[in-house]
Formats: sequence, structure tokens, C-alpha cells
Amino acid sequence: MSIALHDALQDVDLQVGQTYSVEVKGRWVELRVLADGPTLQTAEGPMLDPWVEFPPPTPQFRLRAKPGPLALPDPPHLPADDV
Amino acid sequence: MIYDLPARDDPVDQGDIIDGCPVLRISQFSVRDLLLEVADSLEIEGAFSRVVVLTQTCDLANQKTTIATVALVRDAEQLVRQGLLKAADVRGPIRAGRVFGWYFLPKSDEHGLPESIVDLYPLHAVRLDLLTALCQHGRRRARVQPLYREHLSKHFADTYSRIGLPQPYATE
Repeated sequence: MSIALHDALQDVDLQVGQTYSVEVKGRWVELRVLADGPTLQTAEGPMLDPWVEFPPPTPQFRLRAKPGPLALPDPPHLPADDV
Repeated sequence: MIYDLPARDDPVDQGDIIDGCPVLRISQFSVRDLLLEVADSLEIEGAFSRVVVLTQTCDLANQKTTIATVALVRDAEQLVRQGLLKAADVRGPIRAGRVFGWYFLPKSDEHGLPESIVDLYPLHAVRLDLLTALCQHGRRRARVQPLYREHLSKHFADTYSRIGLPQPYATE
């Protein structure tokens, strides 16, 4: 919460468990008064997509590519009774 | 305990956090050369990075693979300092495992690990013998222990198996 909002609510008689609604500058604001601090976010909330792509690590070396053969894939493991 | 530190000669396993892994990316290319399959203009840059092994334990234990899939382990505080994340994001949804592709790892003074975020989007395929050599020379910081390791693995799977619809279904 910003300091300004904190200051503005200092003299308001807020009752635990109550929800207050008020129109401020044409917008409706809802205020819930909790007994404890904010609830811990748990894995039960909605999943979010990342909002930023992390940049790659700072390069420490540069290489020039050379053409070459592709490595062979790892041989698949087949159970003996399937062979 | 979330982390453990296996002996140096312990084989590489899922959840191993290893320092100094060379992570490469193509930094420059020319479309013309690509179409001609000429490598002259291909430039690759890399960094020695902290990574976590994602390959399933069963594949590693059965020696079914010579390549391991790893993801970068990023210092959460550094990402906050860079302005990419807010501290509240790290403490809130990321820590709770509610952001696809990002997995929170807690700090461990014992293992010299800060609060970190595993970035599951850019994945890297690394030779297993390279990772083994790093481990044998003391570059394995820790191993994420079962339950937490499976939790990370599930998050990894969820990130790549989810299907996003173009828009939510209509409702009346």
C-alpha cells in the first residue's frame, strides 16, 4: 500500500471483516479489512504467463561456427522381451 | 531439506545444480548463408552459467542418453536489480509456482545459493560427460531433493504441455 493511501485511511473507522465500497473520482473502490496480513499466495491461485523474457547471460566468449556432421542420436533402449 | 550435496563422483542426476556449464546461443546469422547451408556468417556466443539438470532420473540412471537437458538458474535478486521483476513478484506468484516457465528455488547459505529462478524457456542440451566432468571437479553446487525435484519436473512438464486457447469460451 502506498504511503498516501495509508495516510488517507488513518482516521477511518475500519472494522475487521467488513468490506467498504466508495466512489472516488468516478471509480468504485472496494476495501476489505482483514484480520491478519495478506494471505500467502499459494499454488491454488490462477496460473500466470511470464510477462518478460529474461535476457541471456552476458556473453563471455564468441565462436565462429564451422560446418560438420550431426552427432548420431542416442540409440533407443528396447526391453529384451520386445526384441 | 530441499538441497543435498552428493559426492563428486556421484553420477549426474535430475535436479543437480551445476556451475560453469557453457551455454551457447546463435548471436548472428545471415539468411542467405542459412539457405545455402554455409556456416560462414554464423556467430555463436556463450557464457559459463549455473544450470539445473531437467532430464528424468530414470533416463540418466539407465544410461539411455548421452545428452542432458538443462535450464539456466538465474539469481532472483539480480533480476530484480535489472528491473525485470519486482521483489513482490518473486515473493508472491513466482515463489508459489504460479508462473509458467519460472520455478523458484530458495536460498541456501550452506550451498552458497541465493534465491533463484529456473528459467524453463530457453532449454539447452549439454553433453552428459561434460556435466559429469564439472561435477567431478567440484562444480556441482547442490542437488534438489525428491519431492521438490518432482515439483520442479511437474512445473517443467506443465509449462510445455499447457494449451492456451485464443480466447476464453463465451458464457451467458
